[in-house]
Amino acid sequence: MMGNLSYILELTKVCNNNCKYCYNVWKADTHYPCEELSSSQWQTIIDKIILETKPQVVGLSGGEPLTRKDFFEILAHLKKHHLFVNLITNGTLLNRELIKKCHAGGVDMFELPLLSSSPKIHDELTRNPGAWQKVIENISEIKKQGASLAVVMVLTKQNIFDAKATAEIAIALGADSILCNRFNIGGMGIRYKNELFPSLEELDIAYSELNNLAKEYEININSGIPLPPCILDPKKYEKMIFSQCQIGGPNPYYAIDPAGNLRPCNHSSLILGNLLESSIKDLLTSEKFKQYSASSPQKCQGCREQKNQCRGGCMASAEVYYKDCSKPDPFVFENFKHRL
Amino acid sequence: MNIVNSVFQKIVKTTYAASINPVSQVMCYYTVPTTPKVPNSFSDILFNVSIALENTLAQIITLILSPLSAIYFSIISSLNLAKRASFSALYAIYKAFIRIIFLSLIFSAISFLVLIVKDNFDFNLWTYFSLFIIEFIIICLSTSLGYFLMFFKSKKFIGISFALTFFIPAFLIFVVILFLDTIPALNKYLPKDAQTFKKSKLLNRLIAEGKLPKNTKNSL
Repeated sequence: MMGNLSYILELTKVCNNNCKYCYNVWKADTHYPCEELSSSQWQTIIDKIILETKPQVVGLSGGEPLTRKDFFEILAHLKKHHLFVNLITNGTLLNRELIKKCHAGGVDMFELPLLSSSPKIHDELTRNPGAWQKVIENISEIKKQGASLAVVMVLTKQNIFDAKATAEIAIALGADSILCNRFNIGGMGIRYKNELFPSLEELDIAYSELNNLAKEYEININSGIPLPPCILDPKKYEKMIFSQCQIGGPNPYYAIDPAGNLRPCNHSSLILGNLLESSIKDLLTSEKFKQYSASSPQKCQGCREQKNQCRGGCMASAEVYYKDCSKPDPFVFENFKHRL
Repeated sequence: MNIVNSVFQKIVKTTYAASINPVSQVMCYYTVPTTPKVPNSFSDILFNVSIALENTLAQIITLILSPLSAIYFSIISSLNLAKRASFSALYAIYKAFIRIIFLSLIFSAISFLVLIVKDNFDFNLWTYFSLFIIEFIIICLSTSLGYFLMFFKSKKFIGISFALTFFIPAFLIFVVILFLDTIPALNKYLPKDAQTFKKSKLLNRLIAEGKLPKNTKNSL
């Protein structure tokens, strides 16, 4: 159970972007704990996760992790343990010196969002004027400095028609991989559900175009958000890689929020417990977690795809939207309700 | 061990380059996507030349004119050599080598001009150099055929023919790659893989279409 796992450390809630699609759980839940750990408390938690579970990969996220003044202290502590560090940033606070400092300090991969080939659409989605320009400059700079880069695209109704052109920009700028997620409802995204959910047809066209690009440029284009075969068959896009929900699976990634609470993944709002007070093993063997990881949508019971780890899409999105894990992913429900 | 490995890699690359029919390999490569198994330095030469070969005139020069001229000159040369009382194989190789260099320079220059005039071909030093190398190899192979045809005059012509087929092209490419590899300042002239080339073209297109700022740095 403690095998191939990784963590996403949500270092802070603070972010200079205000993305419409942001899934950060505290954007939807005003009662979500709002404390932030100090640098030494993060170091204690890092030591604990390494001692107990020996992860290989740690993602530094937020909010915007670079808003933390002690970011480099935390990074240095992670690198003492030789972990692969993935910096998940909105890319607007970076500059040449900071990229150099991050790269030298041990960031193994930068993960930046690029939402459109149009600056206007990108800036509208992030609600941060000038964000597109900064992201483009920093993507270029990251590759110039020889660091690894993953570009993240979030496919919403507002930018999905532009997916091919956006991916072409990422490829031309030297991205090592593209993480192309369909909009997954949660956090701020709940308020903009109707504006952001793409249609199934739009998603099909976008994935087909991305699949062709993956073939032509031999670049990894992945989707971190599961795609159940009952709405679109991932096998149709043979060059793309679609992840399955890893909660309770062989390669889970857990989220640790700014207050040190452990959650089953970064999309889930379920707090398993605080890592300053409990051990990870205790939290992952708790009834709460067992019950959560064993749940699946009622409508999916008996479906043969369950054998392939399919949970009818993203279980956490059902949890945050319906407050009920026995319902399917809202996107799946929207596109499949005539059959459900 | 690393040095041995590195030298072995270079020898494999260069011997491979010299010992196969370059044109068919170019065509073959052109239809097969790059994989990490294809050595980058070598694949770029082939990729550049495959682009050059798309141009009809350059194709005629590369595939027809240069080999025919080489065969003609080599037969004339070998006939003259064979008539000599003191026939020297080393001298024959030397003479053929000088002719090959001279011919391949002329044909590469013509192909280069044709490509520049006909297309807005994205030329750089390495592309041109690749063209020269491929012309050089074609002419070497053609000349070796010319000498091979003279084997009934003297068995030494077979040796010359083999030298021109295998040794000389491989040696030239080996020296060039070694030279570029060794001197850090020249590393920028080392070829990149075909995908990088395609991505550079994509970047130029996106800049031309105004989808990326003109000052976007090419960090590929």
